[in-house]
Amino acid sequence: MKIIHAADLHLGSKIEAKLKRISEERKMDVRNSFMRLADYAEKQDIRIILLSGDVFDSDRPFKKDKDTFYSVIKQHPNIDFLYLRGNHDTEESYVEDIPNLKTFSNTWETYTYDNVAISGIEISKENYSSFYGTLNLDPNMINIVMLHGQISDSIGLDKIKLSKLRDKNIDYLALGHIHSCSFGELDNRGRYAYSGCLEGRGFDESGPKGFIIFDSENKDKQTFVPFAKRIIREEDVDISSLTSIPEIVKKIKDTVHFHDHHEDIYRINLIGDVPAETEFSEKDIESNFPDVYFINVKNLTKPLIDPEKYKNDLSLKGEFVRTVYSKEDLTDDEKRKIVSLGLKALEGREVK
Amino acid sequence: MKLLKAYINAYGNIEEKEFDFSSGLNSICEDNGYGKSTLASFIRASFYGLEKKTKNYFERDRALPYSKKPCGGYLIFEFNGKEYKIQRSFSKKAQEDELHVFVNGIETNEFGPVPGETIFGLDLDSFNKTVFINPIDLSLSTNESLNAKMGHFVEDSKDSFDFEEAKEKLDKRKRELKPIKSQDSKGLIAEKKIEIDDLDNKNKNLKSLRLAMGEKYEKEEKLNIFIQEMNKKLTDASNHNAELEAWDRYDEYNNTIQHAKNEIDGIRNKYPNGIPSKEELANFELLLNQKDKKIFERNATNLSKHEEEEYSSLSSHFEDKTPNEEDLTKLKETYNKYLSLKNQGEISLDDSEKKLIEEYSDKTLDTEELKKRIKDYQDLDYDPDPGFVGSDYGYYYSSPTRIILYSLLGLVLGILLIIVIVLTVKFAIEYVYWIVGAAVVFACALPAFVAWRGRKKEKERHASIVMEHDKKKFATLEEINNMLAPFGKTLSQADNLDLESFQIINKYETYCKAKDKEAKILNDKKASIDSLNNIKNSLGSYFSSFAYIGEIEDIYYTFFSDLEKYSSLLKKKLENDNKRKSIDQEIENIDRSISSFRAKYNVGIDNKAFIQECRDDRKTIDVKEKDLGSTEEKLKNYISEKKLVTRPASNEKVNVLELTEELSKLNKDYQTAAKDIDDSEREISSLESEVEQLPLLNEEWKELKDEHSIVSKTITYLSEAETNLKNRYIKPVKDKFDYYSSILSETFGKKVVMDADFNIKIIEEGIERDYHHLSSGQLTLCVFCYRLAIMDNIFPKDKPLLILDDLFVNLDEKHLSLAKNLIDLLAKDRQIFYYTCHKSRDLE
Repeated sequence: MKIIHAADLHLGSKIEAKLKRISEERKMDVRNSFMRLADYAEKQDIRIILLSGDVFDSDRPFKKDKDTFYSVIKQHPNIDFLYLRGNHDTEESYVEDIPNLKTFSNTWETYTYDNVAISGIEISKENYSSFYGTLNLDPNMINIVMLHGQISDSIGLDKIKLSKLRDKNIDYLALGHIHSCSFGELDNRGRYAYSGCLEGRGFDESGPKGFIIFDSENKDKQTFVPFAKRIIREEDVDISSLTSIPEIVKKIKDTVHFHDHHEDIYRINLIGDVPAETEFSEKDIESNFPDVYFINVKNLTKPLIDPEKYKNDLSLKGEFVRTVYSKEDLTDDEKRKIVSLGLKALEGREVK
Repeated sequence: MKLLKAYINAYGNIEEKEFDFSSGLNSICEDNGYGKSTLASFIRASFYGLEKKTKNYFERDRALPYSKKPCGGYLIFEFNGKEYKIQRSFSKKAQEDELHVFVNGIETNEFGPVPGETIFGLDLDSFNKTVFINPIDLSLSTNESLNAKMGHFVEDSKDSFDFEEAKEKLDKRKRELKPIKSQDSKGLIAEKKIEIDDLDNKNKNLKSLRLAMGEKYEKEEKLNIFIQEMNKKLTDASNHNAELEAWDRYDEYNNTIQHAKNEIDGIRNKYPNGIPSKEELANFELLLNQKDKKIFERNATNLSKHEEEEYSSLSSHFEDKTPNEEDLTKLKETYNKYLSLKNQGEISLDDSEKKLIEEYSDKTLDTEELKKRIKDYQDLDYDPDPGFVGSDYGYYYSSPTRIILYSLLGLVLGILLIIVIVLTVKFAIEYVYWIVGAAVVFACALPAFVAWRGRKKEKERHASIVMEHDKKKFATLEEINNMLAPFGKTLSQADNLDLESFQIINKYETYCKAKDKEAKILNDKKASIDSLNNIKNSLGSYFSSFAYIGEIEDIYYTFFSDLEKYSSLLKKKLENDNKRKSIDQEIENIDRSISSFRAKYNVGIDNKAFIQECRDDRKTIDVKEKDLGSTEEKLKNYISEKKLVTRPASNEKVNVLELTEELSKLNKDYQTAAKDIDDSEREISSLESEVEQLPLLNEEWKELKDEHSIVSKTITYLSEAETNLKNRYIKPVKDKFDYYSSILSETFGKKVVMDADFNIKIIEEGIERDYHHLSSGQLTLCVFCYRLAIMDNIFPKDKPLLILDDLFVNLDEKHLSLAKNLIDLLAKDRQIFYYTCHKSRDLE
């Protein structure tokens, strides 16, 4: 039996401000991701989808998001959706009774499918320390446990202490809360995994996003399925010693392989120490990639200032550099910025 | 630091030239093109390398010689008590330049890639602004800022730009970011803050809207619950109504079943002994049909009316007396005889016979005699001398065959003769050929001769025989013609005697037969009339005994026809009588079976009607029983389908319409609430999209503030640097300037001093005046003094060398003399390289 483990859909979520131009489209992508997931399960003949929390971005999700979610469930009556609420959608409730929607509460609930038992509990103020002790699983069953929270060494709200779940006959701990996929060993018998979210919503959610397929026939091997419509990619490009926009654009093109992923979303961090005379704006660089769906360039370079070079400079430049670098209350970054700006001014260049 | 020697392999226009330098002043006064500036450039390049290319000047181009000689050379100098040698070679590309530094003949790297920076403690730029002095650097027009020129070394190579401009740029940017005083523009930081505050307000509004959504969602949820409850009520009501309808239908089914059963029972009650089975009915119907058939058969045994009348009529002829077969045979024979006699009287001659009798009635012919004569004549029709060909002589010549035969015979005889001779005279060989030839000729000639001799006699004999024969033949023909004369016929030898005679004889014999026939007809006719009358009377008498009177021919056939009819009818009448008796017996048996059935089932008068009724009733029962079974099955299924177990407690139907109307109203309210939510969500969405930009704006705001901070600090530190620079050098530089300017006071003709801002001032009659009153030569010396003042401050102990490239080009003789004094003074504690192209400016 194959089971999909997904989480953190965050329907109705905001999109990072930097993605303003494609914000509405990305919101639609996030909303559609759940529909695509259900269709995928239908095509693959997968009968169970685990949703380990944060399906909605808030306790009061938009009606259209709720309508979308519950109508998708109703449109796929052959699939059981096991929906465990997370820290974002704690209060989410639905009045209509949908037979294939299985929910959880702040006490352990278990749904059994042949030899697979799927248990889950919503961590709350009332149970965050006690739920470990109330978990009892049949060792003869394949046990899947659904939880939403951050793996931690301590016990607390929205926290999961793995050591307290060891030797509980758990075969697979389906977690939600962290937006990137990760796996780990729980104990000799079981493994835990965060499926991550289905679509990245900002540059802090870069990398492949998708879900995990758990196969009860081969329970020790879980497969991550990249599923995001667009991957948010963040790459650093070192432009040290480059002085012109064409050079910088060429370096970006050489470093980032756009041709394979034109439809993705890119954050290009320009790094390195660039000569003080190098002048460019982030927008100038971005305009050189019309074929890429979305690109955001962030200038993280540092002006190339060598104080040693000015050691023997008796001019005002030398005096200025020495003066700035003699200030202990300035950070290195400030010193570089001040010197860069001062030199620009002394050289008669623009100081914006 | 002291330069000792320079060797130039090739550099600019100098090739393979060595220069030895002494302490103090090293003055070179040569014409233009000698290479004074080139030497100065070489010395500088030895310490710092060639200058980078600028917009107006490219030292490398000047340094590379026109000849193919390797560009470069070396420089030997003392530094810190050691003797160093800097050896350089220059190429078209800077990276191909080579630098080697030796100390006491051993290569060293202690000065790094730019030895000048270590040796002088100055970078190239500073070196150019201090140690390396040329008049271009020091020349000053009165329109330029002396102060700027004086502070040359604190500025970049762009002479037109200074600290003030840099500061102004930064101040401007600072004001753009955050104006100092209230102006029209609020400044970028403030504007961004306003934008943020605006979005903050929107965010607060958004939160309020969000908060308000709770109520809307609750309302929508409540309505949704109501709708679901109402839907449930409606479903329950529909189910209840449907259940009632189902039970109604159940009752309908039962009623239908009961009604059908009643109908079936009603029909069955008509038959106390049960309804006859299909087989019984079929059998009964068969009996009835059989009876009808037998009655029909019985009726068919009577003669028809016509037959009865015919039988009655014929009985009058044959009832008492019926002729037997023998009588009838005899009657037929008599009648045939009668007919034969009657028809016989009609025989007569035909027309050809009559015509022939008429033609030959007066002529006679002995046909046998005629035939005999004709035969005689024909017998004479032969060859009277057949031996004329092949006579008794045996030789004739008329036939070539015979000649050949005779010849062969002669040949054989000849050969035989030769053989005999040969055998006889076998030794007379030489004569044999002659003899044989003669014998052959003889044998051939002999028969020819014999034939020729017999021919003549044969012809004469033959003519005689033929003549005799022809006479006899003519006489016979004459006799024949005489017999045929009455018939007008004459034959010749040329006629076909057989044919002609046959025609005449045949015709005459036909005539004779016709004549005989005519006689016989007359006799037979008389005898048959008598016999015919007798038979006719006999037949008439016989028929009249059966009451048949009339012409014999008419009666005869009527008699036989009637007799046959009468016999047939009589036979039929007898057979029918027998058959009728048998049928009557069968009808009696059938009647017994019918009566038994009728008695059993109490059948009324009409058997057929009873059968039909029975069948109809049976059919009705079958149909109704089938319908009943079907209905009962339907009912069973219906009960199962509708799960009818117990009747609902209430038999009252619920008013679904009312519930539907209520649901419709709830749905309408829900739609309104949903639309309200949709509108609000759209508004929230729109606001959220804007508010989502808050972090970005805050980031931008922070960046602007950071920039403002950086700009402010830059201005502060740039100003501080400038002040530091000035403060560091101002007093010592001022003192040194005053010192050097005092040496040149006569040159200036007035007192020249420097203020705290490096501004040159002229003290004239106790009043500070602007330096613009000085000439260009005076100004050059002012700047030179300023450079010396700075150098003295940079190098308080070990004075570096001083390279003066035709520095005093603008000085007149008087001023030059004072300058020479100054140089002499300077040369005491430093090495000076002074180059000029004119004797008047030579300092030696």
